[in-house]
Amino acid sequence: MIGNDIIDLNETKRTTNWKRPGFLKKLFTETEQDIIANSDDPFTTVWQLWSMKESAYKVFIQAGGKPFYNPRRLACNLKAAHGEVLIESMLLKTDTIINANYIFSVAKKRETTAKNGIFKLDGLDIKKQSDVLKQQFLKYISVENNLNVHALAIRKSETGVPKLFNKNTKINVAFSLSHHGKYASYSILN
Amino acid sequence: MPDKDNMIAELKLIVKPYIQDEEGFENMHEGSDFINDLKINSANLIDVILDIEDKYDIVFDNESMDKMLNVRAALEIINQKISEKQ
Repeated sequence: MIGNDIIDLNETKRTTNWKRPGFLKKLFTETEQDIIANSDDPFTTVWQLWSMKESAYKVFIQAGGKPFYNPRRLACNLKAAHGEVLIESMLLKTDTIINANYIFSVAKKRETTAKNGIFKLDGLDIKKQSDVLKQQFLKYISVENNLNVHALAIRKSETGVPKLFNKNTKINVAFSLSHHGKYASYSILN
Repeated sequence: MPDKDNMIAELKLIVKPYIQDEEGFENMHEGSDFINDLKINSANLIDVILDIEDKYDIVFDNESMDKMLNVRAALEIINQKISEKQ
């Protein structure tokens, strides 16, 4: 199982005012609010923690967890090289990439490696973005595994988890897709 | 108890600034999922919650936050919190 999340920093500046009174309290635990308050760059810390929660939640759902919204039920911990997110009794390891354009997090149960593809999407509406991301991901899978891209498809399970199929046969590849603003990403567990 | 259709209409006004799926929004009904059907960004769902709290003068507790996935849950939370005030 693997979960990822990408946040386009310009998009988030445009759409979300994290300084809105009451906003941080609803999103973050007391410990996380302290981390943000003591950060040199609270904006980046807010969205780093948020991307960790989003990526971890995807693993929780893949594992059969019951859907919920409450972001405070995902508790983040920042360590030197990695992060951790605790959801109920499930502890996930996260890795985050931060640059001037986006924040990208990947969550896994163990510190195994993953293949991540990150690319820019331009001027597309949200549904087209999702289609382009799926095509990019399928193209990667087809090249890596020597499969016909036209035989590959993504279908959602009953719980809304995307699964990969080759000629109607499910392929056991753990992956996660995320897009936001102008950026898209796929992550595949090695 | 406020009329359900009126409440959905009020909720539509609240979510309008945050939706990214016009079709899902036009067809918004009790079963609509905020994130999957209306494509509300998950961080903006906090804005929806804060706007609901302001409009109805209620507070979402932990249990309400857990449930806040779709229109039906939002209506239940609003009704429950309003009735607790009286």
